[in-house]
Amino acid sequence: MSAPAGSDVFMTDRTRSGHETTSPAPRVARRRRAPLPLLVPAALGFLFLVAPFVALLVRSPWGDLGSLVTSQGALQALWLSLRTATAATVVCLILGVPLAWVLARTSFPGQNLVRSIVTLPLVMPPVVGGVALLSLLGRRGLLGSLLDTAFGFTVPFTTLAVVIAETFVALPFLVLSVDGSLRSADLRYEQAAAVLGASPWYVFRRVTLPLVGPSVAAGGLLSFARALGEFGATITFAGNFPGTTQTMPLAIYLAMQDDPSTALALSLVLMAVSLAVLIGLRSRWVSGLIGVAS
Amino acid sequence: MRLDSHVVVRRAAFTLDLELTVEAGEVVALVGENGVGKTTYLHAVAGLVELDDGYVRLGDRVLDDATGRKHMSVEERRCGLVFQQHLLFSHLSAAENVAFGLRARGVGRRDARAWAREWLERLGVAQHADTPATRLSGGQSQRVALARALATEPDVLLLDEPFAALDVTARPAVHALLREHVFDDVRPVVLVTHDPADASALADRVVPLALGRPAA
Repeated sequence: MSAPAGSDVFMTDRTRSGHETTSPAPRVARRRRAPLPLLVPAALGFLFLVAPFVALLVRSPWGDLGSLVTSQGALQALWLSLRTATAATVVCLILGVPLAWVLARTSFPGQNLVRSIVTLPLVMPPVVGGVALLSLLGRRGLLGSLLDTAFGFTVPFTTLAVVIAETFVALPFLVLSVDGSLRSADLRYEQAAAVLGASPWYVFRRVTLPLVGPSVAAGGLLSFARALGEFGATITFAGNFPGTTQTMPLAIYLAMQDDPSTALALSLVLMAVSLAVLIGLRSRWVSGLIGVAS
Repeated sequence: MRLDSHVVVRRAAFTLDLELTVEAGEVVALVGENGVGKTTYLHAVAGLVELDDGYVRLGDRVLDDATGRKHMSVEERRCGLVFQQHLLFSHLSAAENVAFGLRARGVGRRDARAWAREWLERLGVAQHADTPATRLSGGQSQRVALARALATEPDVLLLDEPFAALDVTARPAVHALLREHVFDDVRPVVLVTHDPADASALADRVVPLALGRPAA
């Protein structure tokens, strides 16, 4: 997987709609009737995506929603999820932006291999990620055994493990988004800044970051959404302990066994948060910034 | 201050091989068609392009020496380069653009801002100090780009097609502006243009360039 321009992958739709508003010609062209062999599968595809959500809305226990969502267990899981996903997003930003910069702005042997490895968690089953994290940081893991004997400190089955698992699966989203935007950014602005006497670090902070800011924001939102939904790596590496490692997805899965109405209610909450992220991605604020950068 | 250079840069389409000395306060115009290496020369002096051979000396400083394998980093060269497309930072106002070089060198915010205002005033765009760079007209953004380069008090001024973005009626005003407020007795100036009329109107000396070499 030789990295696609991340921002392009995520933003095609927005650029298209932006284009539509500025020039009337494509709008007319797109109004043509779709041929039946395309229209039918397209409609089916859309139904396939939307029907489960409709069912979720219909079956939700609207009457008890308030009490189910505000039950102690639900609030605990939601609060833990928000905290860990926020922490994971922060770690993604701190590590991912420099990583994207190095991938986009330098060249070194094995760079394509590094880029592929960065995208690996995207295509790998998260549960495999959890097993891999255990092999590294587990009590008998490569690094974990050292931590255990030296400091008596074990990572798995703690809140820290949740953050690590979420960061592991979310980081590629940020790196891809920022890497793509860095590689398509106009290098001449950075050159102009250097001629004015700015050091590479100053150029990065004052020119490069503002230039790719929208992609950093978009990548951060995507990372947050991915971290919030993380299940496989978390349950494998961090376990399922209420209050410390039981995030919303885990709580929903558990509730599904014996209390489906709670599961439905919690799912609604997560869906609302995801919708909020989606709206954030499409908001005037983000797309306005994207317009400046491109 | 004196610019003393022999710039050799090999490209697929041409080899730029230009020996050029510009005395203190002298204005030299490099004139030639597009693609003969005029911009490449400016970028080589500014350090954005590495020399394949030759040298660049500015005053008593050696910026480049291909034989000694010396290549001073771009940010240390103290060159003022005004790009053809101006390249103002779009997230900053006009004044913040002009203050950028000073801030990068560690000048405090207030001093840099006051200095930037002064330069905007000299170039006649003080009233646009707080205008976002993206909202400036072509002529305004050119003046801001000039102010941004001059505010750092560079040892040489390199102007890349300063009239390309302007319509013909604006040229006399810019000629006057350059003569009165930009050119001085100390700083060597290299001006790149494809228009011989602009060159002869402004420059002390015109150097025609054809495919990387001085034309006959």
